[in-house]
Amino acid sequence: MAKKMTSEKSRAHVLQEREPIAIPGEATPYAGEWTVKQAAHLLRRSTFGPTKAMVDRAVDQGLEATLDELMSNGKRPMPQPVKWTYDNERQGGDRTSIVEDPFVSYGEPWIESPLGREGRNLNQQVQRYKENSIYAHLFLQMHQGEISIREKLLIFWHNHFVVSNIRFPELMYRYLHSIHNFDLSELSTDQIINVVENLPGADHSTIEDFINGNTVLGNFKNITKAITIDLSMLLYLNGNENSSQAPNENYARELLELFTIGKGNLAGPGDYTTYTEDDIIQLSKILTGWSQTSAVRGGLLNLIGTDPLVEYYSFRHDKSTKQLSNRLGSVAISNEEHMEFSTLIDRIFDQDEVARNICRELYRYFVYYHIPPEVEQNVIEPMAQQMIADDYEVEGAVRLLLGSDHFYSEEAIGCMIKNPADYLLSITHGMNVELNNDIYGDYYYGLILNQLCGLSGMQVFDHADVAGWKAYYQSPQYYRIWLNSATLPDRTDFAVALTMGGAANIAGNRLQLDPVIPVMSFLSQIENGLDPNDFIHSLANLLFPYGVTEEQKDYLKSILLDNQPDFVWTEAYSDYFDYVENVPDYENNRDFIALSNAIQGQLREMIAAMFEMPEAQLM
Amino acid sequence: MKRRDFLGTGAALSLPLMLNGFGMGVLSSKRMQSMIDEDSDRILVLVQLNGGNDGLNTVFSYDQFANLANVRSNIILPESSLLDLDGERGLHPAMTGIKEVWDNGYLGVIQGVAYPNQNRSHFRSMDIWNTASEADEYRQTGWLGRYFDLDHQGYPEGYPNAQYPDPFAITVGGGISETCQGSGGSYCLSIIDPLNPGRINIGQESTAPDNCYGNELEYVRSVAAQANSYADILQDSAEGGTNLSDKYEDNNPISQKLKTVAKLISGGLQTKVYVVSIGGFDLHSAQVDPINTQGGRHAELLGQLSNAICAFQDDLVKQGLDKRVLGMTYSEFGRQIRSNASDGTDHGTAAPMFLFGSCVNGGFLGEDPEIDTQVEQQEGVAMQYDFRSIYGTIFMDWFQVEEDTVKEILFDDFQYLPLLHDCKLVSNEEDPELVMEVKSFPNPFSNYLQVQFTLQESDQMHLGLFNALGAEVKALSRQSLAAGNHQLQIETRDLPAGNYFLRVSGKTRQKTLKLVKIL
Repeated sequence: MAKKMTSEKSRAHVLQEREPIAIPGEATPYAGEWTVKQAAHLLRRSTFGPTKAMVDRAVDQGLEATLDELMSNGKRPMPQPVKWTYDNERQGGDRTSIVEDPFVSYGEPWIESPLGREGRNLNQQVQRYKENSIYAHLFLQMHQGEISIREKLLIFWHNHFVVSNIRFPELMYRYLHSIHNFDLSELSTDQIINVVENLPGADHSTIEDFINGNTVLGNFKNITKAITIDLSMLLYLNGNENSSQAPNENYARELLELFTIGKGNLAGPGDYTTYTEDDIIQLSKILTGWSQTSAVRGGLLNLIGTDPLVEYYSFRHDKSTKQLSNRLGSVAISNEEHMEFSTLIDRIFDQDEVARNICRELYRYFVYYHIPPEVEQNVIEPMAQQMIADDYEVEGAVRLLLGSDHFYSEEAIGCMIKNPADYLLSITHGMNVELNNDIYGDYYYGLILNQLCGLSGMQVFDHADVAGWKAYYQSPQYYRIWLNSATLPDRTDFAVALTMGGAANIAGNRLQLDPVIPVMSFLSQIENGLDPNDFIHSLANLLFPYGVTEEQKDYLKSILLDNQPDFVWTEAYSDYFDYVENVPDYENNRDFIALSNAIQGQLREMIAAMFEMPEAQLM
Repeated sequence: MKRRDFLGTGAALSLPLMLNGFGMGVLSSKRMQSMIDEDSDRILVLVQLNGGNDGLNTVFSYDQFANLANVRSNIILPESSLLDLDGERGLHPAMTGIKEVWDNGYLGVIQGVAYPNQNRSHFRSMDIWNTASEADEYRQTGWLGRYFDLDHQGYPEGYPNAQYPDPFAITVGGGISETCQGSGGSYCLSIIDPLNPGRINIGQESTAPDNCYGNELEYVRSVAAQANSYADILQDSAEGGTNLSDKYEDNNPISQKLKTVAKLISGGLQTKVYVVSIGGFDLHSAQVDPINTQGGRHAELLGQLSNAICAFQDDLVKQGLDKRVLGMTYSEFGRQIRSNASDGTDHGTAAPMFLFGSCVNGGFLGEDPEIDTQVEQQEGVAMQYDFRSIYGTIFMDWFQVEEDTVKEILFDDFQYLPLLHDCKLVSNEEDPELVMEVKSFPNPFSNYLQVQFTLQESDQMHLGLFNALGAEVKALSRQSLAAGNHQLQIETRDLPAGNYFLRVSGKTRQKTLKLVKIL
């Protein structure tokens, strides 16, 4: 790989360790300066790798309209993933890109089709393309150039309600649907659950309301209910095995500790301030009775994504009265069969601490990890009060945060270390890599993004533990956990490969990557491109939160111009546009091609060097 | 790479000056601060078992087996399948590798390790183990990070340097360990493949703005600088090192990680701490295969762990490096005594820890957990030893940290345990006269115990007599003794009959003897 190494072996480094900054400013509406700096800040935090076009649009339309757009796009249903592998050779595929599926054709959604009834081999291939289509789809959705908060929040909720190693596409799809609805007809109770025993007077309609129509900006309480009886979660935290005979407390513990109210300080034996060890026993009992349907037990071959996957077994349910501690309002919950979990979640959400806990998590996701008392009081509390007033609708609190003085404080800008998806998308999506509406090609590209992200420590549907990615909870390091002496070189390695082409070594894997970044698109997009100094500054302002200094600009210029004087650039640049504007059929002109290749080569080197700079890791 | 050999403090004080050209003033004042033996080439390898290992399905006592089978009928494995250790206890049948380590006398098992007021959250509990904090205290630094902080206050500023060219701690396999978090940053370098360490072209630096962004920018730069500056020495060590054991398994991730560790040690890297981890122990369900309880997920994990440790130890012995390396396994908690209906177990309290290495006192420390068939559903195994006592003992015996300093790093009432024995460091220039010999008689003893030893030079000596639970029941506290022969007497009339350990320790050497008291 064409790569420059610093030669100093032992380079003394100055690190003034400072206390984490307490970001100043309150939750009051921001009415200050609205320039590229603020707009890019908002979009970097609320989308993945915003493009220049998105930033320009946000600057033009102002903060309120941009927030409106983020939110309204954020509520749009998720399109369905499709069959992306070819059906046969006629479509132009080779052996590796063809998977025959008797029920779905190339380009069609697969959610309402079974895994197959034929040979074992075929089923595994079908299962694999569907599973991969979900991974690819999630990344392709980040890549749409839209001002939408949907993708950022979907990852937030996935990292909140962790399920891992599910591997069955039907289950993964239903889990995602519990958080954010897909573009699909709503599921009826019959499709959601099998109620095997005749429950007198049972009202099932509410269960449909929990599951259908959730959005990432919707109701936190509802999403919690949907997830509680979601099969992926039941399997992941053993809720499917929790019965009156022998309660399994795994889900009960995490429901309190991680998903809702959070664990407070140890106040006494078994007392965590917000709940007690005994509450976990009581919750385990309340949550008994839910498991997979017998059809799922028999294997998933003939099931489709809209079939009932879970079942409520009354005989497995603990019908005693459960007494919660004073930490959870001292309420007693008597037998309500399949609706009892819903009552439980209502009672947990009666505690205002649930709102504070999720608002702290949102804050750490969107703003900064350090929450000193003044931030708790000035930001978290107003967010929580908004959420409580909205009966746990998420939108108001998120909007309050992203539109606040606090969020646009100088201290808040640029102080977040990008997670692997943010970094990766900032060098692909952010650098104008466009999808070309070739389904196989696009999905294949989406899968590479997924793979790069996963090897960098952020694999979706494969969290190392139920608390989510450490960067969002592990003190004192937090975001810094993303970067260490192994992961930082990995990141820059793939960034260079995506810019220059070549192999990248990532977590011990060698990947050959194409130079996908269309660097020439920046020639016309960047203002004042004629002067190399202005050109570099403009590009840096787009890539880095604080741009580059004069020394840094000179360093980059020495790469761009191979140490030749400025006018070399100015001439090449004006010659280039002279061809484009004045020479017919310039694309086939030999001199133009030579010039264009020369510019492109130098540009790629410089942009690769920019991605290697530590500044590129921040947003 | 030529290895530095140090045995006594005298040699330790003079040799690095010649090697590195640093002024005597700097080095000796450093020594006065912490008394850490900076030049010891001893290495600690931590093996973190993520998820909470079920100790009751790892180490079994025959005495309690029937009761255990009663409360764990769905997951209990056949008693006949256990790998017998000492006629009283056996290991899970998947642990043939660890059994071999035991047979060579290189395995110590400490029963019932936990901390008071168990927190059953994975994350909080692992935090407590990694930071060595009280259950109700939040510490921002790791237990090993505080140890490194003693002598490296400015770290990472100015590191690596001519005197400290090697990383202080390394995690193999990605991620960094919270154990190595120091007050100024993490002492831990994360590596995947040391033959191919990543390097970064950080380009032209600027003065970082004095704000939040500037702070984080400096952090990223420091990671880049660290990666670059340690890359050469890592690569040199990996290329110069070797593995001599044929027991490493290709499809066993923890085995491959320990293989990398052995290779780096073999290649002369002076890193003091290595951390490797193996996940998947949080087995609320399908811990065993219900058809054949000897199989299942837990058996696979224990087999991987056990074979990996066996291969690692074998490798070190074959390379003559074994006396420099101490290994320790730990997990955030054990499981509850009763199994659940999902053929799994839920979060519990105490569990056994393994220490492995040629300097480990082979055998069991502590009593086997007592299983009551009437045990409550949520009850875990009771704590016998605070985990910080193990850390503290390792500090004192392995890294020669003074007791007061250990108390400062950990906690005041840490208990000194007979975990390690006198184990000569590898050296070609070893002076046999410096080895301490201790005699103790009579054995079995009754009303008194005589202890004899010879000192080559004056030393601060401590004599401790420990009962089978590890409690120090008699102590002749530190006193300065002159060079020459010494005989001391300990009154033992008031002690109950049973097994005891006598531990005689000086500043750098110590000896532990196993004794029996009869009435």
